[in-house]
Amino acid sequence: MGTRRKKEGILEKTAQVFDLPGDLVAGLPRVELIGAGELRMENHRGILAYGKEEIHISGGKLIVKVRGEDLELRSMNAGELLITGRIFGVDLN
Amino acid sequence: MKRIVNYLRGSVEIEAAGPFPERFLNLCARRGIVFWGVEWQPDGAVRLTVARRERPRLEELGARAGCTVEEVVREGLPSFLARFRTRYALLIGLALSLLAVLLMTQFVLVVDVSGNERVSSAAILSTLRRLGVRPGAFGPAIDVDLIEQQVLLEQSELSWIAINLYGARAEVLVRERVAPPEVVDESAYGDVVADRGGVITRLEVLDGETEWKVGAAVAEGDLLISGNVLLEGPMYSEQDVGWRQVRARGRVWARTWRTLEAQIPLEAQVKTYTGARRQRCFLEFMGRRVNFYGKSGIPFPLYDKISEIWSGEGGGWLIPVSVGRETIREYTLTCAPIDQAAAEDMLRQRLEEALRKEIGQGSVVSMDFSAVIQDGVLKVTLNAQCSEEIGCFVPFEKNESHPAG
Repeated sequence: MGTRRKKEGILEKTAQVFDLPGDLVAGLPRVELIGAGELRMENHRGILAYGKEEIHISGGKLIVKVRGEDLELRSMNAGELLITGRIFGVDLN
Repeated sequence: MKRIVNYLRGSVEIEAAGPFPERFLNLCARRGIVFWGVEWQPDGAVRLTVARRERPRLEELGARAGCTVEEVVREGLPSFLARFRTRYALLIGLALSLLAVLLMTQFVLVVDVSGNERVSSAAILSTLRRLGVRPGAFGPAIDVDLIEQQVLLEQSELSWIAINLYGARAEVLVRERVAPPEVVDESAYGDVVADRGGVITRLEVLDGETEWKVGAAVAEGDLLISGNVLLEGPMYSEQDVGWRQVRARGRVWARTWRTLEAQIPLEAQVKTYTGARRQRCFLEFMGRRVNFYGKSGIPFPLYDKISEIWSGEGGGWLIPVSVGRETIREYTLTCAPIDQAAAEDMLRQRLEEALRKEIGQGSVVSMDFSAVIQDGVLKVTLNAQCSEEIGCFVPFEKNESHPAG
C-alpha cells in the first residue's frame, strides 16, 4: 500500500512538473459538474457513504463529498460514476 | 430506448443489507455489473436494480461485502412471460391456436377468378372444382401445373391460366382466346342469288354481270349477279370469244314482305300456394354441406324450393362458411284467364323483335298487326314491308342449277 501511494505521489509530481494531465498520468480523480444537476467522476476508488443528501466518494488521497437534495447514483462502474439530483456543493477532504 | 431494452432484457430490484452496503456497490462496479436506481433505505440497506442475467452473481458479491441480498421485485418481459409458465390451459390453447393457424393456411379457403369476360367465373370454378381446386382442398396436394393444363384442355376458350396459391387463397388468373377472323375464300367463283323474293330498289354490281333492273320483281333463288361473264367478240365478228368465270360481287337491296305469326292460349295454369311449408337449415364449411335435418324427402307433389344462403365476409374476402335455409312451399295448379290486351301487346312486341332480328341491318317500312281468337288461342299475325339486302353469294358447286352460258 505504501509503495503504491509513493508511486502515485511521484506520478502526480511528474505530471505537475511536465505540465501533463494528472488524471491520465497519475490516475487522479476527475470531477465534472454539469450545471447543478449532474456530477460525473472518473478514476474514483469507490463509494464510502451514500445518502439522498450526501454522497462520499473515495478519490484515493482525497475524499469527494457531494452535498445536495434527492441525490441518486445513476450509474457506476469500476472507473466512472454518475450522480444526479440537486447538487448544492462539492467538498474535498 | 434504454427503458425498452431494459424491459425486454428484464430487471431485478434487490436489497442489500449489512454493515457496509456501499462496499457491495463498489464490488458491483468493479465486477462490471451495471446497476441503476440506487436508493438508500432508512434502515441502512441499499436497494438497486440490476439486469436479470446479473442476478446470480450478486449472491457471491453480497457474501464478500458481508451483506444479505434479497430480491424485491422482478420486472420486464421475461418475468411477465414467466407468470404464464404454470397456466397450462392457456399454453395449450395458445399452442392449439398456432397449430390451427398453421394448418388452416395449408387449406384453400377462397378461390378467386379474374381476367375472364366471355367465359363465366362459374364455368371456370366448376372445372377447377372437378379437378380438385375448391374450398377445403389441401394446398400442397394440388398439382398446379397439371391442373392448369387440364383446365386449358377442357375450357377451349381460355388461352392461358395461372393458379397461384397464397396460403388459404387460390388466385386464378385467366386470359381468353381471341377468336381468329373468319376467312373468306376469295378464290371461289360463284353467283349472287336472291335469298328472298321482293322488288329490287337498289343494285350495286362490283364483279359479274346482271340482267336485272331497279323495280324488277325477283323470287327466292333467282340469279341476281352471274359469275359467268360473256366475253364478246370484236366488232363485226359473228362469234364471241367465250365465257370467263369470276366471283360475283355486289349488293342488291329490295323491298320485301314478311309475315310472322305468334300465338298464346287465353287460359294459363297459375300456382296457388296451399300454405303448407317446410323449412330446413344447413351449414356449408369449406365446400362441405352439413344438413340440420333428418329426412331429405319432400312430402308435396308440387312445390317450390327457395334457398337463402348467408355467407360470411371479412376484409372483402368471402369466408368459406355459409349458413343456409331452404323453404319448401306446396302449391296447386289452377286454370285462370289471362289479360287479352296484355297478351296481345306481348305477342306484338315479340313479333317485332323477331322481325328486326330476321332482317338484320335492313329497315322496316311498315307493319300491320292482326289478331284473332280461335279455339281459345290468341293468334297475332304481323305483315311487314321491309327494305333489306337480299343478295347471297353461292359458289358454282352449289349453284349447279344455273349452268354457265
